[in-house]
Amino acid sequence: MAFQDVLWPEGADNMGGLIGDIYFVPMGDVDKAVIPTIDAEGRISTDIMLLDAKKFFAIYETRGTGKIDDTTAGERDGRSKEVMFEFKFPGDTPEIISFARQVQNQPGILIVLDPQGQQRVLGVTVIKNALGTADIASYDMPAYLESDTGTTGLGGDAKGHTMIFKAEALTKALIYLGIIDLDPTPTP
Amino acid sequence: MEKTVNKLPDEVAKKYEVLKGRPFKFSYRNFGRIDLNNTTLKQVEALIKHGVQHIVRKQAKG
Repeated sequence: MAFQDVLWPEGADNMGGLIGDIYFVPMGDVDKAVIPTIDAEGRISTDIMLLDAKKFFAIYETRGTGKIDDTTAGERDGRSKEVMFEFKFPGDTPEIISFARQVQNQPGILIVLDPQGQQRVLGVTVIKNALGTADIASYDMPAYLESDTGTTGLGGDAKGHTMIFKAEALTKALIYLGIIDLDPTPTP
Repeated sequence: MEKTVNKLPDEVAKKYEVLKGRPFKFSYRNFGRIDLNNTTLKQVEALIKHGVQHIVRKQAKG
């Protein structure tokens, strides 16, 4: 990928935050034999394929609490990225309590949607191919739960669980053009 | 696990099919959650136009 101009269209929409649900799949449910394609713009342009009878799980996110942060890691000549997805779930349902336990030590992939309609991925990154001539997608730097803080709060306080997932990567969270598989009963 | 049997609506199935092993239920960018069991031909053609890759035109038999 070569350097190019980085311009901004005058008056373009630029709302912050995330919209819609968060989607998570354990890394063990991903079909790693099918590596997604990285297009010329550095986006994941084909579907993340799952094993038979597996699906992404949707997690509700309180609007206004979801965000993507990234920061530069490493020292000069060894820089990379640490990317984090953060969101808040509003209550103490059995489902979120179960999810919080299961995800504590579980590597996986998360996909979120921004208000510009771009899906962003945590847990899939790019690396160079064996010849060092092209970028290929890699499942070898999955996302892990970094922090899960929950509170019932006092009366009138905010209540719920704030979760942060983190992954190391060579890039910021990649843009994903594929579908998010929600179907455990695929076409026979 | 859900026990539903996936089947495209007749008007869609006349022209398109879902690739073997690929999902009928999925989420896709601005479209949100999709269930191909309950879609119209117009919706399916919009999905294909906007990049969904696992719904394909049926091959003519011959």
